Amino acid sequence: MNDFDYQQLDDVIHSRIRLALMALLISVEEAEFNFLKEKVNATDGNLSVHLKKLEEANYISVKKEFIDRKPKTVYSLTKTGIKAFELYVAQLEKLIKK
Amino acid sequence: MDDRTAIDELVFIRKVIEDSKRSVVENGKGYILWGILVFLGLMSVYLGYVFKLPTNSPWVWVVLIGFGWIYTLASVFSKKHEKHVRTFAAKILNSVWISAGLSMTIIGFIATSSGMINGLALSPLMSTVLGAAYFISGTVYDSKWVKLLALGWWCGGIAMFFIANIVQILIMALMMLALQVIPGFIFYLSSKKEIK
Repeated sequence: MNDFDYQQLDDVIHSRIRLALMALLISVEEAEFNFLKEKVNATDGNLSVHLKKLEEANYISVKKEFIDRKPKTVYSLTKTGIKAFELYVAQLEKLIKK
Repeated sequence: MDDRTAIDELVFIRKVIEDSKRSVVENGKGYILWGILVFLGLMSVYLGYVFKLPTNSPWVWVVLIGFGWIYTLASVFSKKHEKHVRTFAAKILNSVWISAGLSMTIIGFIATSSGMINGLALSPLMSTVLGAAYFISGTVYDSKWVKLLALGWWCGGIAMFFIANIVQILIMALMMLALQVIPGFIFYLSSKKEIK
């Protein structure tokens, strides 16, 4: 019987696609929308929804710029996001050790 | 959530992180270009000396190294606009190679023209600097074979410190092909594979 309270897990991160986004962003300094889309294999709409959710939780920051008149959106993890991700991983490890 | 799911999640996180790390994969073009430029410079010195040709001139080096720097700086600035991702590892590698290149340019042009360093000390010194740059790159890539290249450069450097004649130039030229140009092609081919 496992007495781990799964409700302790961060709901914002506890979704496959958002977990993938957080893991991707923790290993790079910053990444463009297209890079994330290619890596998580999501549609534009689906990816935007998940990125929005992470942004609302203040886990990621968004920078928009124009390069040669083309819009470019760059994402990076915030300090809050890094802490939340570390906590999430620590909780998973705790669960395994139980 | 049970243990199995937690393990799956951690495995998934690890896989994603390893996958994104591969985004720093080197395209090898810089290695190939610099390797060929320096190889040409060394051969111009060697052939100039052996066959008494006018190719053994410092201006050959000015043109070759000048071209290398123009290409390198142009590609660094253009890449800033086209990269989809910026990683800490790529930042470290850029810094390592720019600083190693700058150090070698200073040693090659300033230290020799001031007379502080004998021309025969150049190849072993360059070889030693290259060994350090390859060792750091190997650590960043977590690649044993890149670290072995560092060992090759260091061993070559030690050997060349004891060869004070024109053969040293030929050895350095061959090392440039074996330990710089060929690895550059390996990087190039693996980056092509990665893109596919």
